[in-house]
Amino acid sequence: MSILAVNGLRKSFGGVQAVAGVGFAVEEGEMLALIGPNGAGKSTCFNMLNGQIRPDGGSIRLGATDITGLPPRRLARMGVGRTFQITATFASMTVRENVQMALLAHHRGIWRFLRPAAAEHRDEADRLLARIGMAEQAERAAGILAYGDLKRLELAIALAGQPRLLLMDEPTAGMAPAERVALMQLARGLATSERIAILFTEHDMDVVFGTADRILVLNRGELIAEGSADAIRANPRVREVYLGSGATTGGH
Amino acid sequence: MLLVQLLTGLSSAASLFLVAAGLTVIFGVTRVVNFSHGSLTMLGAYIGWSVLTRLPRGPEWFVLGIVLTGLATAAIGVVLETLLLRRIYRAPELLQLLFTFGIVLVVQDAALWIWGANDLPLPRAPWLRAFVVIAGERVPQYDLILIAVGPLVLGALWLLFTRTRWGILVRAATQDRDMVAALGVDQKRLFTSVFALGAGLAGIGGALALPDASANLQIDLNIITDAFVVVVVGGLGSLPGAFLASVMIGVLQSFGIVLIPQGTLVIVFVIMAGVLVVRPNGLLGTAPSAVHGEAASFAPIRPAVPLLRWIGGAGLAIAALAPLVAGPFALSVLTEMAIAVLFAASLHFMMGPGGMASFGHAAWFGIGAYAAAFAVKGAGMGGLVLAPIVAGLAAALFGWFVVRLSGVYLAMLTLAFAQIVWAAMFQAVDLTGGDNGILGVWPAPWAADRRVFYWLTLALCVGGALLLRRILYAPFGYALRAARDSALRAEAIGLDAGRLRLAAFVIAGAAAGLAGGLSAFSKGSVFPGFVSIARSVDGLLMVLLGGVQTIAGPIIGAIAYTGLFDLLLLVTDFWRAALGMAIVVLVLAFPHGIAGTLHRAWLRGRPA
Amino acid sequence: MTLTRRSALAAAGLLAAPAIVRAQGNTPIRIGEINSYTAAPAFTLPYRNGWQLAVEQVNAAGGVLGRKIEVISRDDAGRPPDAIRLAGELLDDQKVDLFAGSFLSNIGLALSDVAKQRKKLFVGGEPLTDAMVWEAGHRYCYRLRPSTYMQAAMLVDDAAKLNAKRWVTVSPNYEYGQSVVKWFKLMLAKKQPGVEFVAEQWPALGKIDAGATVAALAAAKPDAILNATFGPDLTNFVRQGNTRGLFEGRGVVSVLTGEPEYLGPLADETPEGWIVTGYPVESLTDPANTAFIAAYKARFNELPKMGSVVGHALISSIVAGIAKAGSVDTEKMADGFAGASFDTPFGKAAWRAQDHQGTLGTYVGKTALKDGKGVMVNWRYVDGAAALPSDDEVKKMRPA
Repeated sequence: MSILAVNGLRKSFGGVQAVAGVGFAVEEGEMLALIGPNGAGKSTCFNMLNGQIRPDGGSIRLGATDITGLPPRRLARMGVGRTFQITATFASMTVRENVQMALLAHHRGIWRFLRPAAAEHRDEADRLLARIGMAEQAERAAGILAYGDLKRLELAIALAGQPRLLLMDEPTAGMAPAERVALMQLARGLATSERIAILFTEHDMDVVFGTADRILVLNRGELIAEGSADAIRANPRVREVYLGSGATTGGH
Repeated sequence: MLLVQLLTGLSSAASLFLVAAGLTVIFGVTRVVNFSHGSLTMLGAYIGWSVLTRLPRGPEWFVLGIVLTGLATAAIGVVLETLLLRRIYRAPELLQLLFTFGIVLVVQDAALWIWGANDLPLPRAPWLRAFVVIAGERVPQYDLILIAVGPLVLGALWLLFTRTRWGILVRAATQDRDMVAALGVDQKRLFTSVFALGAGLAGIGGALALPDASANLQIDLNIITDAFVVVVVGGLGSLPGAFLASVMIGVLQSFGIVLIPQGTLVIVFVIMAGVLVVRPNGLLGTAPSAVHGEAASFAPIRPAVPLLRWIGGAGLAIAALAPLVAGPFALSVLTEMAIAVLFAASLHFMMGPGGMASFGHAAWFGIGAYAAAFAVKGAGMGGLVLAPIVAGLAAALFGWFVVRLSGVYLAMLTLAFAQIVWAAMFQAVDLTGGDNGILGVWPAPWAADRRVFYWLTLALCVGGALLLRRILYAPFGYALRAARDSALRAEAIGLDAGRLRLAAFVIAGAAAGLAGGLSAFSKGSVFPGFVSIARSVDGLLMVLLGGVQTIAGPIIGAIAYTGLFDLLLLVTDFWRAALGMAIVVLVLAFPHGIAGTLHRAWLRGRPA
Repeated sequence: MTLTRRSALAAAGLLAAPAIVRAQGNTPIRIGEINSYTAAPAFTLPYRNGWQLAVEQVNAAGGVLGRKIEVISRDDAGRPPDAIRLAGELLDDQKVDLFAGSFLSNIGLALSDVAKQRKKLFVGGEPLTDAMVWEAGHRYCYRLRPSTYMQAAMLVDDAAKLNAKRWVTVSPNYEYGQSVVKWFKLMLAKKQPGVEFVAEQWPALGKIDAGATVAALAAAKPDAILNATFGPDLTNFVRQGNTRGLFEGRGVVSVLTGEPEYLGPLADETPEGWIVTGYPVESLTDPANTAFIAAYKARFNELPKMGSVVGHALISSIVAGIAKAGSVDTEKMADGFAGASFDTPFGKAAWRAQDHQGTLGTYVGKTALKDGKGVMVNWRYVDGAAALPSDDEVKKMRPA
């Protein structure tokens, strides 16, 4: 069974069809990229998956469970992890505490009022930090991290929830090219070793073609292509959408 | 009669609108929650009095006098802005509030010193006394003039903001300050001119009210509360919203007086609570952006370093041994300090880690005090147990509405609830004794000795504050801070921010209730004043003085503020000016609060 | 100079007190004093002048029990809890022999409760609430000024003569205002059966919405009006009432309005013919009053206000009480004050033994305009003793 199965997803804003019947599936350990030109409906689609927006129609299933329209909080508890386009971490906590916080939330341990949190899940947090290569920064304040480090921290926070599905919104936005590759390779490794399904949106085509197992292309709210990197590269409709303007202005 | 009340309501809306318009314009651009705006209105009334009593009494001279007054207060605004407020634009929003409150205190004593204590009514020229008969009833001609002034000013401001380059820049700056800076506009001059406009409007509003009132020293606080209500009900930064809200409040108030004469104390706050519950961003407001400057100043909360623990322990030891040497009055001051510590710590709990600033924290303090006072007849000191429970329950009830809001709106809703509680305590004379309060709430014989009562208070307050601190270091406290740091991330890891905030609200309310209960026994009485705005402001001052972002902050702030206040009250008649100046200087010297600034100085040079 | 001298002696009640010994360098008697100086300056600043003058006069005349007196004054900022704390400071740290003062009714009651708890003597000056000497009265509390009951009683005869049927009331929404309205209604209904009270307005103290209040009162079509607002509220109320014609053809009975601190601001808009209590300072001719006015003018270069009289009489009443008690021991004073008589600017007054109420009276008259200023005319002095309920009634109200 697919980790995530989307069927006939629809959403319109004030009469404008932003997403018009999109369907796809993501498998265990798979990295699936969702791409499309600006205004294609990527963000809307993504925000319906992560619970930020309620769909008008269609269904979203996580494993066997229907999760259509559930709020982000509920999704998190069902094993959906997230990273944000603009990183969202807890600025008043250290790097380790950020991860400990996520672990506490995951283990339903937050409604406790007396035992100091500093000792809770400390080892597990350190293990996670080690996996993303941030062990030596555990004591630093999250508020002062470099952007690339923040992105990695977000990944560790998401991992603390032991997700089956990881939704990454523009994971490499704002990063230097070298960092981008490193981050996506990290994600790739996690997908493979933890059998996590990863769905991400991305602008950088090098990242997309370099890391995704499969690619979905969205245009004007509809899915116009789906397939491997090579298949997408070769797809004429995709070329038209992406290179359309280039083809006409710089053409024959 | 309906028509007369309607016209009366509309005319009282006019000067309120002018003041509120100035406040909302200043807030829109500078993001300063300017408490001293009421002082500018008061100065407008006094200056207007000084000017108008020297001019001939014809209408044309009246207009001239009003214009001159507007220019004068605008000039005062420029001085205020360039000398003082400019220095705090980058400070956290709440610290600005504290700062401008300091200015309020100074201006109050300055006005007392310049114009004297007596009310100064403006002798009314005959044309100001004239009336027009409408539907068989007399309506003051001046009321009709005021009714016209409101829309005229709104129209003029609308033209100013849409048809002039300056106005367009101001609107742009309201949307995005940095963008305007990037356009190469001289931001300083823009801010100064906006402040001048707002101050001028405030002054004109104050002067226009003169024929119906007098210049007096209460104007500042009376008008600022009403103006804040108008601005918040209308939606922060929205001029049409302010207009709509002032009309709505003016008219409802004028009809309310006929229907429920006893309700005049509370009617505006009931309106505000109603609007905010239905529309969390006011009538025409938009969702607020993150509280300015606050997010950046979050520093990690770390366990106290050993040195600090030693200092704290030593302080506690001194406090515990104090009764062996301190005189009775020193002891009562110490008792009060201990209570202030718990009160401030409870406010800090929701303000700092909870991210919910409250202008109405006195509500829980007062409810706790009244609970203890009611219980004292049957349960004696056992009432102390009831204080936090009842306060916590009340906080749970109100908190359900409050935690869905944020920023200034949240703060104002807490204020509205506190005022409603205050009015209830004030009005239910049979139950609460009204403003006479409940007397005879003295401690049981075993605790009647001042030293015993002090030790009891110290134990409960320090114990309470330490418990709050412990909760902040526990998983719950971390989750609470997580929800404040990033609501988005908190949701994404499965935290229920609403429930966390509600729980924090209840805990803070219960702790404040305990402080209130102790205060009732220490004073031997409770009064509606326990729930007053002044009490809430005291709490805010303590927390802000100490620093919101450190856990030691509220404790230091409570001790510093109580000490300062007592000292000033004893040594000078101009204690308000002295306290105000102390606040202004402290904010300039300690932009992150006393503890916060020390903390930063300590960290300087160390890797964060 | 002689005038000052004489009034000093009179005011201090020294002539009547044989127990006086000349001061011999003893430590002064310490009187604690607490009032709302910053919260209600219009009344309390003349009040401070009044007691300062009295203290100077008393000390110039040699003090009491051979000791000078000294007043240690504090500002409670209008907040009862602060007043309670400051009372503690005065009693514990300043070691005052007794304490006095206060303006607002709730603070008066709170300080009285401190006195009860601490078994120290408290002499209230201005607070008007009846509870201070009746329901909440006790051994250690005395109160100088005519209470709300007495003010109402002084006015009710003239009110009944108006023969008005439909009454409305406007009163600040706190103890003093509520109490005035309560007593006035009760007494008038007794004097004039069938009288109706058709509307009430309760503006918040200092926050009256005058236009709406006046319109609401007018809508009730009353024959007569009882007013208990004062200060800025009164000014606003009068102005709106004048313009809207509320007072035309209607009788108005108004508490405290004849006091210079409240009449002054009305200036040329002072409505004529209101029945008021107050202090006709510009038209008094009797020796006690003129002596006080002259001394006050000489010292402060302005006419005294009602507050000045209260401040001055407060010191006189305390000095006389101490002289009669022969000691500053609290228990002796608590007994000894009772029955002590003292001179005030208004003439002789005394501390009633029964309820510790002072018999200082006040003036009842009508408002009028003279040279664009409000004055009191057709006034008469009503002794406080004449405006009090019967001993039996008092006994019922006062706990033993």
